[in-house]
Amino acid sequence: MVQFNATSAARWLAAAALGLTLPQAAFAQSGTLDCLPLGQPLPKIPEIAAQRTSGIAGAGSILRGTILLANEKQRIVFREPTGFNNSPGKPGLYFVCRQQTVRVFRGLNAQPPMPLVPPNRVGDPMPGPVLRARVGDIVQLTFVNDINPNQFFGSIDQGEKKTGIGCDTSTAGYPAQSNDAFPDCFHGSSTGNIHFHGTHTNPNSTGDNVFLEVRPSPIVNGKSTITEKTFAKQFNDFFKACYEQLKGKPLLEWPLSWNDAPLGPWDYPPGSGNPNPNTWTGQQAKLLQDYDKDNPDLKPLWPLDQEQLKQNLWPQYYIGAYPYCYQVPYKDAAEPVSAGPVKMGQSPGTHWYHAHKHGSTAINVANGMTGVFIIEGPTYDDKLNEWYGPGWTQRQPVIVLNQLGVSPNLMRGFGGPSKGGNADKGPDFSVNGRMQPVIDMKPGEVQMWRIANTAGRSGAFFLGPPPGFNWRRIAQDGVQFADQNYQSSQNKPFLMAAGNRTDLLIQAPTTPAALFPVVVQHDVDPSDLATAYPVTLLWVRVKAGQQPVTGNASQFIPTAPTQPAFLGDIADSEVQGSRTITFATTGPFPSSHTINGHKFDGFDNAQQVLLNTVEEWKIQNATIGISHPFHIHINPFQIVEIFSPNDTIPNPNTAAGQPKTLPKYVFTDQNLVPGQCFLNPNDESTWKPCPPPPSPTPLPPPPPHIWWDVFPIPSGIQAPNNGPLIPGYFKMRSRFVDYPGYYVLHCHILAHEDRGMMTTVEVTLLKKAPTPIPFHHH
Amino acid sequence: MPDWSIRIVPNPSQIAGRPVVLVPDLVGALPGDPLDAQIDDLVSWNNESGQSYQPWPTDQSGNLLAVGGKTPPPAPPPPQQQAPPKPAFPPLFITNMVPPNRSSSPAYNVVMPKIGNVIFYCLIDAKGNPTKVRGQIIVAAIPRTLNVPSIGG
Repeated sequence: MVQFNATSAARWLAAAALGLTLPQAAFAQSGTLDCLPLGQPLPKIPEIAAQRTSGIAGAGSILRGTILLANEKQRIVFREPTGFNNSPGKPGLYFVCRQQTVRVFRGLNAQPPMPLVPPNRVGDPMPGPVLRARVGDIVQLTFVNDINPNQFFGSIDQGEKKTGIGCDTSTAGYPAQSNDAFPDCFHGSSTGNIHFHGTHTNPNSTGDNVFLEVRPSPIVNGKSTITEKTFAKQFNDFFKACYEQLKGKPLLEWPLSWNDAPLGPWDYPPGSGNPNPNTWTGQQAKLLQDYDKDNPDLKPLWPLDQEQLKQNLWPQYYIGAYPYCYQVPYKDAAEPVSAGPVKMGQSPGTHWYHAHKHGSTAINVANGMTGVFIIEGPTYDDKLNEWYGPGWTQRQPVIVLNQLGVSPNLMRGFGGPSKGGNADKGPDFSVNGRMQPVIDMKPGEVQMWRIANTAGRSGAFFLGPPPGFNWRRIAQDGVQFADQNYQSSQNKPFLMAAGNRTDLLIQAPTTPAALFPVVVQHDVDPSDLATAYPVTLLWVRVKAGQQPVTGNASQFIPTAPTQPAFLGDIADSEVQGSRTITFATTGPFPSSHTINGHKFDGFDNAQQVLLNTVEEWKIQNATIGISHPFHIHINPFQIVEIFSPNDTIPNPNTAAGQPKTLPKYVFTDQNLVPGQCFLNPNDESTWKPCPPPPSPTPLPPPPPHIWWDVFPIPSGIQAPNNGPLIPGYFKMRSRFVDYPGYYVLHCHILAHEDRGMMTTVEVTLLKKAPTPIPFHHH
Repeated sequence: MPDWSIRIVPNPSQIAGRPVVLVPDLVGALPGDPLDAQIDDLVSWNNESGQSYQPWPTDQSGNLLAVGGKTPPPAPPPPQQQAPPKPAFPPLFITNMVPPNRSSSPAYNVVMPKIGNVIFYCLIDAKGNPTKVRGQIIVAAIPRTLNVPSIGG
C-alpha cells in the first residue's frame, strides 16, 4: 500500500496537473467510491460579502445573502478499520469513501456560485459559504430549510411525537443503553437554525438566536413549497425596515414582537387570533397550523408559539424560511468601555457559524453545516493591509477544519469486544472538505491563515511550524492579540479546541519546490498527546521557479496592530460578581454529561446575570480525561487563572531510563522535586495552581490576557485510595454588556451538548427572582 | 461508519403482490439492488409510497422469521403515551412499520447474520401480510475497497 509522503504527494500532484485524477463520479452501486487522492489543492470557499455603501467605519453596510440548508449526496471519507484504538494517524489504517446523503449549507448568491449537487451526482464536501462583513455592518440573511427529511432516519423531530420517547432510536439500543432521555438525546436533525459563533450582538428574535427551530419546507409532489423566493418580498421589506431601525442604534434589539411591521402583525383583525394572510408572521401561523393538522401523530407546534405570543415573546417554531437581521456593533477604537453607548464593540476577526439545534448539533456539524464568518475592522484588517498591501487580508486562505461524518457513534453498536469498542475518536480532520490538501506559497512569502476548528469533537494540537517555516499567532477566537502575545507566539505549538479560531501568520522558507507537512495531533485532553499519532493536516508547497518574495510581504508585521480600547484587560476593580460552574462527566461509558449536576432541561437552572455587569466565573471540570471545551455565546472572556492538576514538569533527573516528565501535582509532601506541588486530598485550599520557587510558572501567562470564546476546562484528577476527584478549573472574566436576553453556554464537544451539557444564560435588565425559561428545545 | 437509506417506491409495473420496489438511495442504483453495508452501519427505509410497510426478516427463500417469538403482526407493540418504555428490540428485528411519506424508526444497526453474510427481508403491509417485495443487505466486516490512500506512517 502506498504511503502518503512528500514523494507520493508530488506524484499525485503531477498526475493532477496532467488531468489524471480519477473522475468524481467513478463509483459503484455499493456506495463505495474512489477517494479523491490526497494532496488536492486547497479549495477556495465561495463567499458572500457585504456590499460596501460607505467607506466610513460604523456606517453600517449590509451583508445580504441566502443560506440554503439542503441535502445532497457527497463522497465522505471514513477511516478503516474502525475501532476504539484505531485513532487518526495510526499506521496501517486507510481511507474508504462512501456515497452519503448529508445536510449542507449553500450560499445562493455566493461568489463563485456554489450550486447544490444535482440528485444524480455525487459531490465532494465543501463548508458553507464564507460570510464577509465589517464591524458596524447589518447582517441580513435569508435562511431556507429545504431538507428532505425522509432521506434520513428519524425523519421528523421525534420529540414531537405524541407517543414514543422523543429520541432518535436504533436497534443497537440507543438511547436505552446510554440512559439518554429527551430532550438530551440525539433527535430532530432535520430542523435548522444558525448560530453566529463569536458575534457580540442581539441574542433574541432575528439575531444570534439559537432557540429558533425552523422545520423543513413541506414537500408536495416531490417539490418544496417554500423556497428562497416564497417570502422574498416580505423579507426584502423587513430587511429595509431593519436597516432603518438598526442604523445608528447598534444596541437596539429589534424586532421584538410578531406584531412589529412589516413582518407582522400576525393576526387580523388584531387580537382576533386569525392568521394575517398578508404578513410573514401571519403566514407562519397558518403554516404551523397546517403542519399540526397534516401531522396528527405529532405534538402540535402552533400552541407552543401561541403560548410564547401570549407572553409577548418572540416564538421559537417556524416552517421553511427565516430572516436573520442584526448588527455587529462598531465601537471607536479609542473609546474605553466606560464611554459610548456600546460598551464592547464587535471584535474584528475570524468568526464562524454553524447549526445549533439541541439534539442534533453533533450530526449537523459533522455533516458539514459550518462556515467561516469574517468580520473585518479598522484596527485589524486595515492595519495589516497597511503593512502587506491593499486588500491583502481578503486574499488570505480560509481554512475550515472539520471531522466530517454522519450519525454519532452512540447510535450504533456499543462496541463489541471483538472490535474493542467502536466509539472511536472521531474522523480525521478534513480541511475545506479535503484530506491533506496543499496550499501554495511563494518562497519567502508571509500568508495569514484564518483557521477555524469547526469539528464537533477533537482539538487540533499544532506541533510547530514545518522545517524552515516560521509562524506567529495574531488573533484567537476572532480577537486580535496584544503585541506581547503576538511576539511570544513565535513558532510555539498551540491547541485549537473544537470551536476555536486562530489567525496564523506563516512565513515560507526561501527554498522552493518542496512539500512541507503541517502536523497536528487529535486532542480532547492533554493526556491524549502522549499517545496520539501525528497527523498531516495539510501540505505547503513552496513554488519552484519563482523569485523569493521580498520586502514587507516577506516579513512578519513588526508589531501587532493596536487593540481597540474595549479589548483591554478586565481589571480587578471591574469585577462585580462571581460564581462557580461545574462540568462533569460521570458513570461508565457512555456516561452522563452535566453542568452543576443537571442536564439541560430548557426550563430551569439558568445562569442569571445582570446586564452591564462584569463577573469572574470559576469554570471547573470534575471529569477524568476529558477537557470539556467551555463555550459561551455573545460575550468573549479572558482567562485569569488555570488549575490543571494533570500538568507535568520536566524531570530534572535526565539519567537514562528516567521518565522525561513528572507530575506537577503530587499527593505527597515528601521528596518533591523543584516545581512539584503537594495536592492534599483533604484540604481543598491546596486545589489551586501552585507556582513554587525556584521557577515560578504563573498560569496563564501574565497580562495582557487573550480573549477566548472557547476554552478547554482542565480535566480533574482522582486522589488515591478512594480519595476525592479533584476538579481542574479556570477562572474567566467577562463583561455581560450591551445585549440582554437568553442565550446558552455549553461544552463544544457537540455530542456532549446534545446529551445535556448545556445551560441557559439569562442576561436581565433588572435583578429579579429566577423564573422558568420560556424557550425550550424540542 | 456510514448511514444508508433504502427507498420504498411505487412499482410502475403494477405486478400483483409487488406494489412497491426497494431501491438503495445511491446514484446509479436500480430497483432490487442489494445494499452493501458494514457491521454497525445504520440503515433506514424512506417510504415514498402511499401505504405503510414494514421490513421483516426472512430466510433466503423468503420465509418470514420469528422476531421476539413473533411472526407478523408487527412487533413491538405501540408505546404508551405516558411514561413510555425504553424500546428494547429483539434479535433480528429490523424496524417498525413505516408510515407513508416517512422514513423508518428505529434506525437499523447492521449486524452480521449467524449464517452467511446476507440479511434477507421482505416488506409486510399494514395488516401484517407479507408482500412479495424482497430485499437484501450484504454485510461485510471490512468494506469493499477501491482507491484507498494509506494514512499511516
